[in-house]
Amino acid sequence: MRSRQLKIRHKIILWITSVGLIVTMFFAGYTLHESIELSYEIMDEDLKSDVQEDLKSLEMEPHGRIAEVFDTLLDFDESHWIKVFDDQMNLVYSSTLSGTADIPFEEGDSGYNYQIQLPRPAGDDGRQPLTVVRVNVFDIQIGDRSYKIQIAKDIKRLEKEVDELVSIVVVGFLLASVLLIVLSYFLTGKILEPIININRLTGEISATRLNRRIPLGKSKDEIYILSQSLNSMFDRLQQAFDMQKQFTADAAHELKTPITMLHLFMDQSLARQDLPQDYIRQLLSQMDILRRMRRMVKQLLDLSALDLKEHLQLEVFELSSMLHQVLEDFDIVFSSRNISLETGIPPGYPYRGDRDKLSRMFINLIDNAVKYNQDGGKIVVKLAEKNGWACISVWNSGPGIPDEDLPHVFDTFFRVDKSRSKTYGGSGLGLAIVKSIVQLHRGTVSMESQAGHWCLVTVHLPLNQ
Amino acid sequence: MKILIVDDEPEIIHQLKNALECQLYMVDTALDGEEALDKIFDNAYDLILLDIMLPKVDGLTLLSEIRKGNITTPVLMLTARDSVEDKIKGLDSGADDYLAKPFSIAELMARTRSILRRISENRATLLTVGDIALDTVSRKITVKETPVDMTLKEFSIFEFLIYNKGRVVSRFDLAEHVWGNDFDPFSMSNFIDVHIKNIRKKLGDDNHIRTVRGIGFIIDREQ
Repeated sequence: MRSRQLKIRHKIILWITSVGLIVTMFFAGYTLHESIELSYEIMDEDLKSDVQEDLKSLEMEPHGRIAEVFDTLLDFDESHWIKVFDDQMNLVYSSTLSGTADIPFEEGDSGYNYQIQLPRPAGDDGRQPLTVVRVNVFDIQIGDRSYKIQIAKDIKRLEKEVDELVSIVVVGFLLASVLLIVLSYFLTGKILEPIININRLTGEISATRLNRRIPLGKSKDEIYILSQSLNSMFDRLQQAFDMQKQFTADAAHELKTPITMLHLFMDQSLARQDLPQDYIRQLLSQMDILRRMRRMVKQLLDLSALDLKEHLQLEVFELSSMLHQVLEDFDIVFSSRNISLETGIPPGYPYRGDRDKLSRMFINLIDNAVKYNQDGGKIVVKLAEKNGWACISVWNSGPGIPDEDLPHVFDTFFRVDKSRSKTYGGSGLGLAIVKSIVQLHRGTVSMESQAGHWCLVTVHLPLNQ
Repeated sequence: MKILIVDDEPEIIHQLKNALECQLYMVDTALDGEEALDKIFDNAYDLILLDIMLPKVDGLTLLSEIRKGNITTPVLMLTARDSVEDKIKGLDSGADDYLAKPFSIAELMARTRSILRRISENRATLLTVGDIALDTVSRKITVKETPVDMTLKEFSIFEFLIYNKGRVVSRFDLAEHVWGNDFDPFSMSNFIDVHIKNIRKKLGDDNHIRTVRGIGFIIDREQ
């Protein structure tokens, strides 16, 4: 059950995180793209304004040698690559940097990037490195002639800024992912909390008390509806169970009167001493069958009384003395079958519970340990305290229980060996009664066994109730 | 000794009547609560065997009615319900003992004798058979006035046999009586023989316990 909860949690984390990351990625990409565009636009603006600012005065003086004019006017040509063409596309002016290479014209309003070799000090390898430049083209009108100015600028600094921007975005993205995972982890916990609660309560209810219900929350949300549906399911389940139990109880009860009549009749017949022997023998085996039936009816009634009423006659008594008392009664049984008894029962262990029922529980356990044991075998009874639980264990050297039967040993009418059951004389109800009694005391009972070697039944009873 | 049996099942009444009459009791019967009330107020009984579930007037009501009418006749409750609460309710209403169905006649005899003995003041607490005397109060057994040391189980087996004097008592009934309902009488009845052997040894040759082959044991009524 637990692993399934975690799985859903992981799934939700995965979903939230991946959706979150996709959105973040989209947003980061968009922002990155826009900021790069923006910085290029700013650069274009800068280039344009630089040139236009400087060439403003040119409109006043249309004559003279145009190249010199440009030379004086565009005095930032150390850092800029500039070429000026007239309307016939003749080169009119070129800056110092622009001597080296041509940059093709490109259509469009905005600037564009181009890789070019600039006359720069050579790198360590003696080669001129390629430099990316931003190119802008303007038309200007000087007098009646129009010129095309191609101006480019090294964008190394801008590229560096863009790199920084990218790394900031990547780091931000990683941080966002971590944040998303952590947040979604807690968020999922928060979302699943009511469901996990319901899951736990449901487990508790079906395992122990069918009469308990899931408390309904204040807000009528989906959880409320789920709890409601589960509760109504429990109602119907409990009803069905109760009906079944009531039926068993009623049926067993109705059998009592006819059994009593038969019993009394046979008792009377057996008390007569004038009957022929073979007739007596027949009567005796009939009596045996009737007694078996009688015992089964009684146990069925006990079981349904335990299930239906759940009434305990609580008193405080010492578990150790209860165990000793029962074991004393079994003395003769042990010695007749040569079974050796080993006990580890320290004195004391005050316990608040139903003494009669618990001693019946223990009787059934010992009875089983004797019945399903070899002659000359061994039984070990121990009482101990562990973390606030009294722990009664009964070990026997009997043939043990096959693994596949272990989960069913506490079921009503379950018997490991159908063919041998008659020689053991059990009704198949003994361990079911044990389980009911232990559960009424809010304890647990379990059986371990190694088939062919041993069998161990352990009862845990809570000491502080 | 006059006993009234109140039960709505004629067959049960018939069997109980038979069994009790064999033990030389006088038996009267009633099939419902009203009939029982009439008979109880008209006759003096020594013991009433009363079923709880009865037509017209139920057993518990009937019981409190007769106790209100200052009738102190001992009452042995017979009932199909045997939970602790029912037992307590029955005893609170004034019943002297309580027997859950189905019960054996041996158990009924023992309870009947025990009640009759307990309430009658002029009777001794001693039960005797031959030279053997059993004191039901001090729970001691003597043979020719020499005390015999017996375990609790041995005592209650012998007591049960004496209460059923003249009746064969089966191992099963003995086991059920000695170990109670919680033990499996099928496994326990095997151990009755061990106990009987020990009892015989302690009581000596003249122990009056006779084995009835295949069935159980009997202490014969003295001629």
